[in-house]
Amino acid sequence: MIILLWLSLALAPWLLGAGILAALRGRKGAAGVIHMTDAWIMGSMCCVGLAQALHLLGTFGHMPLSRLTPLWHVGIAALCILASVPVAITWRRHRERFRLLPQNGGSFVLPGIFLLLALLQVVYVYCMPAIIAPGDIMTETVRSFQAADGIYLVNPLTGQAYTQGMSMRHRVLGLPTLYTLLSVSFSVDSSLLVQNLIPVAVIAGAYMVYYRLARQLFEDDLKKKYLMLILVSLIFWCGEGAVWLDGYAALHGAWLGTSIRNLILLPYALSLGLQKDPRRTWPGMLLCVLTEACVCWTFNGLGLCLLLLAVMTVLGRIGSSRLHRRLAARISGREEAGG
Amino acid sequence: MSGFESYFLSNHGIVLVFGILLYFWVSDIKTGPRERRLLILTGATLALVIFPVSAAALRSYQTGFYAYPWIWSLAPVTPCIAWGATAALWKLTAQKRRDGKAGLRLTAGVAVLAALLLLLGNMGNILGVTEEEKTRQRECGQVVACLEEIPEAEDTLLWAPRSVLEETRRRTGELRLLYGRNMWEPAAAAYAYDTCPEEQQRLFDWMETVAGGEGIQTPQGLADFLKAAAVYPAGDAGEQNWAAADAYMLRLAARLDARIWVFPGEARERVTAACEALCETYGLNAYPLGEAGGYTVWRCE
Repeated sequence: MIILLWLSLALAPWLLGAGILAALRGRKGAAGVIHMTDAWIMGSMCCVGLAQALHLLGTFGHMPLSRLTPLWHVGIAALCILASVPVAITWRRHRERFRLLPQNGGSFVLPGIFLLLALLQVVYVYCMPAIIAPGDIMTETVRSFQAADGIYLVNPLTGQAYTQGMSMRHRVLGLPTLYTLLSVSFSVDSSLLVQNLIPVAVIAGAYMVYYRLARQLFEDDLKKKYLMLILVSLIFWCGEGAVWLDGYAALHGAWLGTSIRNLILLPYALSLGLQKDPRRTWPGMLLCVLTEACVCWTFNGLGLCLLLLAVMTVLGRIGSSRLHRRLAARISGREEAGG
Repeated sequence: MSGFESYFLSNHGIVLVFGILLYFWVSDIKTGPRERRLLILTGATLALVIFPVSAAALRSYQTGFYAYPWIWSLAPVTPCIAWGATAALWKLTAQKRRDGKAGLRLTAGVAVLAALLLLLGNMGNILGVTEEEKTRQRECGQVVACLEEIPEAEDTLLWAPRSVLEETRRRTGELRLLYGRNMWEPAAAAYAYDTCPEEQQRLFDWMETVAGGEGIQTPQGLADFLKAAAVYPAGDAGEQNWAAADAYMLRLAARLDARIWVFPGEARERVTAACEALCETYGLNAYPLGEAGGYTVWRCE
């Protein structure tokens, strides 16, 4: 079942994301290239969205988990079938738009070093016993959902009914329901899924996002892109001393909402913001903001992705303002005069 | 600045970001529009998270649920270091690449950078579960396996030392606890409005005293609680009085519907004496069900 889980985690998000991108980009020639990494990230965010909808149904509609699980299966199957239509059409007409692997050739040394470092991290998170971060109650929550056949019917830490209730901002977060649905669907032990399998998917997602970022910054220079990925993996290995660092998120707590935000959503939002092409990137931006609201405790749904995009927009406006241009021209003029 | 210091102490690698910003500011490296955007964004977000007024605003925005260092998530620290170091290494080795020694120079550059990251980071000491912790988890896992074999364990509440309680809820959702991690871990208690009644608090104190062995002193709150219940040994405490106080706590747990108890094996003598007093004074019968992982499982009827 674990092999089936891996196949589903790899293929279902890719198909969903590829379907959305194929539908959105339509007939755009070279601009309509669908990268495997972009598709997987976007599809994963859609899966989180579906799980969130079911979570809200379970929490506020009091629907038991045994009824949510078939809905999850039907939902995913329906979305995949829907997504396969634009994928099939695009595949028949413009097969070249689907980019599974980098097109340029080149040495295998840098990709090899990167793959080795990433593989070491995957083996590490898959095999090592997990450190429990302070305040992390994910495993307990998933187990309590399964035992009580419902969402937040009991306090995950004791198994008893809540006496005073729970925080609404915590209650609306659907990440534990996603893990529960995956655990139930593939008959995988909750703690194995949460602490060992999900981190592998999150690390893979993080490298996909960083590859996208490298693509934005270095365009077609494959060597630089892989060198950047190698440095990212070194940063993960070396900076894992505190719970808020990316290294800790990748190696010790990748199942947490904050880790998904810091490793995937924020770099993805950054890469979208760097493109400075809101007409093409708005669906991704919107999905980033919504996904963060589903997985992370935010300020009434307004999270760091939204803030980052807002800061980038403000900086972009300032950069393109007439005053800024005049100042820049005057400074460069002075420099030239001085030189 | 204490906020910044707290982050800096956990991540010395931040100096690399400042170094990269400075390097690209003073050097003549030509950057593309996206790279410039990344540099400007990094500088602006660093200013936002360091400047006290904006940092306070960001702390309010991210809610009081998170500590100050979490606002650093806004600054693209990892992307900036990875991109900046790549671009700088490429620039610094450009001449050498033309000499045909590209691979060697680049490898040396990456090695120096890796050493720098190690020095600024954890020096290769990756966090992990200690051997002591692994042993504790294994022993507690054996206790949980034993508890799962007891048919009536699901009908009542479990009362045990904190390590056993933690492991129980991580391994199974079927067993219910008298109190959980929210008792001793404020971060875990932040998700719910539930509070722990004083009786549960005292039972926790007492259990920790028993689990800690003879070296552990009775907490003042527990001593006052037992004194108020008129069962605490006053003055020259004899074994009888201790057993009476222990029996009172066992009876309190039973009254709160916790009838499966787990005690460390070393406390067996003390618990046996308390159970005898429990039977004599309160008419409750408690007996050991089995042993696992250095703990004894008791049942109260």
